[in-house]
Amino acid sequence: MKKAGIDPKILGVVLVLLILPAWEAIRIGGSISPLLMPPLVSIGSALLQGLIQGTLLVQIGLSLMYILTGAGIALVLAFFTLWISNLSPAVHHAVGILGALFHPLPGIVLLPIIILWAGIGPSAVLVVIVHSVFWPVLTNLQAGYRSIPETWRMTGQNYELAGWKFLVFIALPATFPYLLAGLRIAWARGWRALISAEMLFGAIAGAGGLGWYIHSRRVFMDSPGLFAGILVIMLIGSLVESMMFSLIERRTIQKWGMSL
Amino acid sequence: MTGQHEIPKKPILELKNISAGYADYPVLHQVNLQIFGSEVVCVLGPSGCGKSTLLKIAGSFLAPKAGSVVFQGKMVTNPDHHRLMVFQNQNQLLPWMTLEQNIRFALKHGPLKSHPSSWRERIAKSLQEVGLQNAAKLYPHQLSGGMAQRGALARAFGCQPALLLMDEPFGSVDAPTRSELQHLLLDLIANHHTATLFVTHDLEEALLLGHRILVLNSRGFITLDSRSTKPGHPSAVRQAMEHPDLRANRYDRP
Amino acid sequence: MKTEKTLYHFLRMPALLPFLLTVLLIFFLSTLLAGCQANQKPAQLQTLRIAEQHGLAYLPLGIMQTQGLLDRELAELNRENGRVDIQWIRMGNATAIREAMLANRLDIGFMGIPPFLLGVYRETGWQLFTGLSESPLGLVTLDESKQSLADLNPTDRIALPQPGSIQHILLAMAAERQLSNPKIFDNQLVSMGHPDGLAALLTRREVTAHFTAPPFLFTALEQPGARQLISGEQAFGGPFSFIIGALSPGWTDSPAHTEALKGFRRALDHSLSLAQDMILDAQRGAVEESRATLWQEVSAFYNLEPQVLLAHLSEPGFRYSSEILGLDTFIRAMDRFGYLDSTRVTELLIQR
Repeated sequence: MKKAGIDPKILGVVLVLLILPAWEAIRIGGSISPLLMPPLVSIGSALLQGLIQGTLLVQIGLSLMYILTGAGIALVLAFFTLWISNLSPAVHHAVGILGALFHPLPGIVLLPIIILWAGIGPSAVLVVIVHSVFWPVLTNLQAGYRSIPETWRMTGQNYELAGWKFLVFIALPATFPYLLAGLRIAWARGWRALISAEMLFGAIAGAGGLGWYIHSRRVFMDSPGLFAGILVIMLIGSLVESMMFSLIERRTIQKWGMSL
Repeated sequence: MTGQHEIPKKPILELKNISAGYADYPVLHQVNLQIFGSEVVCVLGPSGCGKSTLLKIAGSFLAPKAGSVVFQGKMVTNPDHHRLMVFQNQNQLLPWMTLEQNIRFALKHGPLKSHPSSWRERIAKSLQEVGLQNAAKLYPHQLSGGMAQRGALARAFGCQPALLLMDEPFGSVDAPTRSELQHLLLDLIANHHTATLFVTHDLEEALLLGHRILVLNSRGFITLDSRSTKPGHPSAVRQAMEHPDLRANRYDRP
Repeated sequence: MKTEKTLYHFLRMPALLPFLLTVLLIFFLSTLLAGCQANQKPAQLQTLRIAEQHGLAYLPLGIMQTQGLLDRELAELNRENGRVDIQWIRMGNATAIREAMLANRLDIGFMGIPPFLLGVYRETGWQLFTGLSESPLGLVTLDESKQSLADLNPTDRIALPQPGSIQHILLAMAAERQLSNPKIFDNQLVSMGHPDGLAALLTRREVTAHFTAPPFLFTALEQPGARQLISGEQAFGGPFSFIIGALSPGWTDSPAHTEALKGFRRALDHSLSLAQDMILDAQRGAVEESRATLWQEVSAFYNLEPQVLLAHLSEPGFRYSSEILGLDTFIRAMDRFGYLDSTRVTELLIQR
């Protein structure tokens, strides 16, 4: 028997069910312009239309592709940096100092410089994402690496795992809880940075992602479309968090009894 | 337990003039030790006397400050799967793999690297030996403390190492389980004829398991029991109980 | 039933009270929000908030500010409470102006016709009350290999202020006329303000072409190898009003508002004629003595040397007038491109 209280899932449903009529009530009760608060029906139909016509789907796909590519590059870089900094204590400290300096910088703050250096193309968006993902992943990887129990290290040595083999077969799974925590932060930061970057950069190579979608809805004063875009960003954000990360967590560190 | 077995003349592991520790805090000072094939050497000693350091040096996990480690006639400096370590820590099975996968992992990277076809049989056999055939698909965190240590034994003996290095492997389980595990280890050693360097602070355990019992203190080793003694021999027990070094030691166990 | 039971728990939760209070608070706030929208009908006009943007197309508004023309015209209004507080706000783009008007933070906004029409179509209730200027506009490239619109590849990026801006609609009209597809460039637009767009163009690698207005247009055209792929007038097919003035729906027929609007029109007419005089000076290449102070004050206002301003205004294509040109053509074009419904927009425009 759980502690007396309420299932968060049901609470979530109840909350949404309360917010929706509240939205309509405020809108109608206050006779607020549909440009400020569009009716739910028109938001829904804008969403549906975007999905059916495929325009919204293309933008979603593009945004996800960007973030996956950026995250992939950042992951490879982070592992490489971890490897390098294990080889030399000087590098380790240098990376630590750089991390302390750059980790707190929101990717969007770097945008003006990135525009100067990497231009306004896809590469600039990727740089923003890589920055947002790299530092949290690296700092978590390093923390995780430091906390690998000695028994596992020695077990690895006993089976003659050294160098990359040790990293892949012992260090990677052993630091996985930390990696996952780092990826969670990275996702939150990267997703926000991506949407902001897309809103600033405009269309890139054929389409512009969800940020651009919202920007273009805004300039055409299409409020329902604007809210539909915001809704999609919210949904994807929480779907990735609650479905993907939770699923990975359940399939890995919870199954292994390794939760931090 | 049938009679004593023949112990070869040539040592399988030889520690020569080993020193370890820091300049102002020497842990080991010119320690010599020979272990012969299929004998069980138990090392007793007060906590902090360097028992664990000795084991790590024997497994080449730690380089001695002076002296050399000779294994099967060769100087060694890196750990290998012929000298396997079993820890006290119940967390020593890798948690991201099931028990079965842990053993397969050991075989795959250890002795049976190039014989994948024989893994399945070997895994089944070693699980059978420790009585965990029904726990093959369980993850380490699902095992009780005693089961986890059995699993560690299965993983180690599955690799059929030449030498086992055991660091108080039964130190963190309750008394009945410890006794069970001790007898299991006796059976395993009898079947596999594996030479074992067994570190413990438990005198009864040393008396039960060891062919030879050594006490490690700041002055080096004191031999308590000769290797002609059969494990568990009553005279050995009496002799050990009366030894002044251990009598003092029994009150300051870690 | 399990759900019922959980709901029962939920209703008995102590957290419910704060939750209900939050809902009440939201209602309260929304009433306030609605209130500030509806209750803007003061007997006296206390403040007048006017938004403009950057560039020479807004010259008459600069004259109005430097010469204090509006202050003089409105001096008699709101006598009991002192003077009408006139606030000039310079904003980065038409979207910002539209949103500020929507939030009831502006009374008058100046922008291109297409952004205004999009606002009308979305039923913001804005009124078109005056034209302001015609201006040279152009799509400029520094790439020698681009001779015409047809030379632009799908990978060439085009910088312009934003989709739905007058530059975007003009580009679509040109693309419709020359390439029979108004949307052909829609997926290669980069949304950038004029200064950023110019900077990107000058790097010669970020964007291939930039659709812009003076003075950025002139700077771009001065670059070696610069070529105007199409001018605003070519794209439109004739002259058109670049900037118009829109009135927020808060304006009523009340005497205060009517008087204020009349005053604004008088001040605007005055400054339009001064702006036209400046164009004459520029075309002659010499400033008439009586206008020397005007030139100095206006140049200082725009942070330009008088000589530079003179050179800019001597370029053909500037005309400052309250006449509104090309409204119908824009409505029909934007209808064809799917950005609005011309019948509805015409209806809404006539209603005012």
